[in-house]
Amino acid sequence: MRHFRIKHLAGAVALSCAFVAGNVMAEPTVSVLNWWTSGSESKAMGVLQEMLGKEGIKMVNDAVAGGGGANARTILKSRIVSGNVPGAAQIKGVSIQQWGRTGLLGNVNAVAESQHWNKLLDPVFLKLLKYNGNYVAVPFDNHRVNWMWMNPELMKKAGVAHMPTTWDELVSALKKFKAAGITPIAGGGNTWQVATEFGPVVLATGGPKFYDDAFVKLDTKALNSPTMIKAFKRLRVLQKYTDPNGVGRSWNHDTAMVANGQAAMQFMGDWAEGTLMVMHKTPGKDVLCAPFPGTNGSFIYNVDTMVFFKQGNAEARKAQDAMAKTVMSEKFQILFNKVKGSIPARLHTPMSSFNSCAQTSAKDFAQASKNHALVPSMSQNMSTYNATTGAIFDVLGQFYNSNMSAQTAADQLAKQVAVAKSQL
Amino acid sequence: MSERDMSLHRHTPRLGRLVIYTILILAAVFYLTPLYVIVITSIKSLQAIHLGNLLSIPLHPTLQPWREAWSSACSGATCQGVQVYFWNSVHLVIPAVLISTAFGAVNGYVLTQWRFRGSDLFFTLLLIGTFIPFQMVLLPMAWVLGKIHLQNSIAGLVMVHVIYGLAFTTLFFRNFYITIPRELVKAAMIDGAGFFTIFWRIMLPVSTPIFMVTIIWQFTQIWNDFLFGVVFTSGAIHPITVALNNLVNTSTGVRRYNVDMAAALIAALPTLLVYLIAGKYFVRGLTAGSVKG
Amino acid sequence: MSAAYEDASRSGIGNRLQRLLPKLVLSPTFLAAVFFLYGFIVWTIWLSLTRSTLLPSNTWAGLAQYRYLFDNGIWWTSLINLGIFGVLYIGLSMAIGLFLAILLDQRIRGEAIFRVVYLYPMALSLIVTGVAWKWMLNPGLGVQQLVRDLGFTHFSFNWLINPQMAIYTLVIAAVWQSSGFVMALFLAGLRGVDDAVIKAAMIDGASLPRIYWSVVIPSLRPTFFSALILLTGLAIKSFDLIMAMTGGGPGFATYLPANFMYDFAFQRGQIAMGAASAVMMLIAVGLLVGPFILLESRRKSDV
Repeated sequence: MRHFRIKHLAGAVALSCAFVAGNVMAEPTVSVLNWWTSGSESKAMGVLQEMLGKEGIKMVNDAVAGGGGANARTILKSRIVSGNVPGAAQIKGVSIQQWGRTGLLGNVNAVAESQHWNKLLDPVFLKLLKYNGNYVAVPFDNHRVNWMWMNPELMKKAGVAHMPTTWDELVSALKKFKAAGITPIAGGGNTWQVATEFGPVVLATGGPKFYDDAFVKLDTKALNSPTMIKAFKRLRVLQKYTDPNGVGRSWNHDTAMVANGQAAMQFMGDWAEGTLMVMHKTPGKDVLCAPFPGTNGSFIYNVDTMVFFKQGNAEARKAQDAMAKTVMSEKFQILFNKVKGSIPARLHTPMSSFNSCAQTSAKDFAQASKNHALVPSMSQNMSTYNATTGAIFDVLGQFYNSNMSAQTAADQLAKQVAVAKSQL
Repeated sequence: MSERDMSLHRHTPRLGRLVIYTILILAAVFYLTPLYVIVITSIKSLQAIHLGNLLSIPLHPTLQPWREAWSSACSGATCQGVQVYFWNSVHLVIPAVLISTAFGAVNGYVLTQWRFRGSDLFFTLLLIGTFIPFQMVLLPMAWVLGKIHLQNSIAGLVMVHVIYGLAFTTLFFRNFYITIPRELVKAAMIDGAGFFTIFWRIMLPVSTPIFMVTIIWQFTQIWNDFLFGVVFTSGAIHPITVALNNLVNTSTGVRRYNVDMAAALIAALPTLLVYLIAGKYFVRGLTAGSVKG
Repeated sequence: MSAAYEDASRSGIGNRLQRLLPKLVLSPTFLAAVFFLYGFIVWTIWLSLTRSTLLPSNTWAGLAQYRYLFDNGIWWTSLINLGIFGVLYIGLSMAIGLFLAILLDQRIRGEAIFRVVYLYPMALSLIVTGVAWKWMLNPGLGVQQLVRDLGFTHFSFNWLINPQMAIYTLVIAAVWQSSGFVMALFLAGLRGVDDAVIKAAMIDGASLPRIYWSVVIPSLRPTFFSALILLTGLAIKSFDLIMAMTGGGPGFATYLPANFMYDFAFQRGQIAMGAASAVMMLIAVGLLVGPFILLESRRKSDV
């Protein structure tokens, strides 16, 4: 009963706050615009809300589903135009720099200095968060994209002895699954899922240096090179072994298929762990994990960040600072990332309470950082502006849904990326 | 009308009628199938969904998905079902429908009975203007709403819907009022009746059918809108379509089709009810409106 | 001042007010149209000539965005799709709507029930029904599987996942939604047809189909017009349908201009190019539908 009343009260407060938006509010408030609406993600945001609440900071979790953030991005722009700028918004990768140039971003320098972010974060991440030397964003997590997930029982059934570590081993495993009457790969066929597969394929085919030339520097020669053509050919091979009914299916249902033994494997980032845990399956045991064959030692990272916007009043800035501080705390990083399936963005966080896949991920991250084998995810909008990512997706989508040759695809890739670059 | 029916249809042969009824029934099955799938799925348990197929009748129907969808399912970060958002939509749709319909009525009256130079051109431009894709008005509209401090409010959303509904409500009323002889209005004017008196005494009394049509149309359009709702409101004041979209996308690994479908039905109930209750007025109203257009 | 003069002046003002009143009543709509339709259209045209990316900006770019647009394969795909979808959707909705209306006009028992059954899909948002359609058309879950379960193991219906055919699944769902509504429009039109004309034709010995074809249907012209306007508006705006059913996929096979625009303007941060696509779409629709509207409103006002 009491619980019920408090819930109602909170609802009423939220409602009245919304109506007087723009007016001075009693408690410091930060609204966070994001597209985290899946069960595990909203639970993780709830953790943040609660932790901030204890410090007297009110966090409004403004989560909007749809289109991989397309709706949230539209809302962000309309809010800015209407003068109702959110305290923080989910913006990723190099787009942070693009937003920096609009002059709308605030900073959390004071918190970053007092918490010594420069020692808590990998240099690659520091570069990501800063615009003009100011800390404009806070990192929530660190996802590894180049993972492969496989069902151990089906492996036994098909006679696949261990997780493939090279391309050839992968192909022979695929053949074995198919021969055993098992759907080899669960894949949705959405272009972002195809791109999520393609990133690791390119990394495996050309190595970190090539990946960097192609997807970070957007070098025309790399984009239209024999290596890229080879990567497209490999993507075509994977497609042949993918469940054709998957079109339009979301990634977490693919994960569920692997967990339930309806398909042998999935190539997906470690957010798949979040789904496995919701299904009460243990990553690393019920479903095995290994780096995408041929990418052992490298790490395609995907960091979710919330970017801070300039706020007029001191109370709102106070709330932003409090949020940045809490997000970077060890406690939050552990709680949040265990639910989401990622590893903490904060270095040196104890990993003992994490599952074995996450532990491997953390070790590999440190190793890859030393060897300069850390690369940003193309498919998750980390490495290029959305316009360029869109151009890459266009080519991938066309390639995947037609019988376009690998040669043509590489040609197109170089051409479309050049056009997208010239438009910015 | 009935007289014509008699004379025209007495001649339809018996075999012909059998064919007609068969076609009509097959068409009815086609139209009803999706609704059937949605309804039976909404009263199945998840287990039953996995065991049976799309069309199988639930052996143990349950209302649990409905209860969950109404009051406890998670939509985005909040887990209070679609209840709150349902009432938001109610608060939104009533004023928006009434205001846009009222404007449509007087506009149609002016455009048919008080025509002036350029009024036809105006009407044409009004219709063409509505072909602007709504995606493109989002940013300038957001700017306007910000300027008049209606951003993120039901009132602002009402304004948006009224503005972009005007062309259609005007179209409906114009096509209806054009059938009313202008001599009637002229006679009333000679008797000394003014602009509003004529509207009130002559036009309104015969307008019930077209009001029904317009209200049904506007109600459906506004209740079902997603784009304006998602962009111009946030959190607790989202309309139900946005909440439904969030709910369907708030997956927790296992897709709970039954709750999704129950929520979808809750979101559709008001419009369905309007069609069921007022549906007969719809055809009647259209009939009245299209006589010798 | 004489009383007579005062009287005259008052009635003068009154008269003028009476004459102004219609325009005054129309003015809110006029202002709304000028500002919120044409003002925004002008603003969109302006944006399309700039280099706006994340947010609107005023850096001049000339016609560059239009060049990019015409070079973009997906834009052409979405235009062609709009053509296919638009023609089939409007054509089939009208054909089926008219056909059902004619059948229902034959003194059918339970007409009211049939009417509601055909009409109800219009009440539902595609956000709602898109989910059901997606499910029914999915080869692994829906109709295909159902028929296979019945024993026809080689039955295949995989349009939803076939890039060449996916656009037609959208047509099915969209026609399902609107054809009943068009039926209502035509039924209303049929009920309004002058009896005398038909009787005359019958006395002349014309057959029933012949009467419909040469007398009844031509007299439904205004209904065709209303249906065309409403369906065109719905076709251009069938954004929700694509989002709910295919998300534009497989690949880009079911992109429509509205999706293209939303994607470029907001997801990809290329507002100027999104604006250019909106302008092109408006021009295309204006050219196609504008003449009809103009003709029709002229014709009507001659009555």
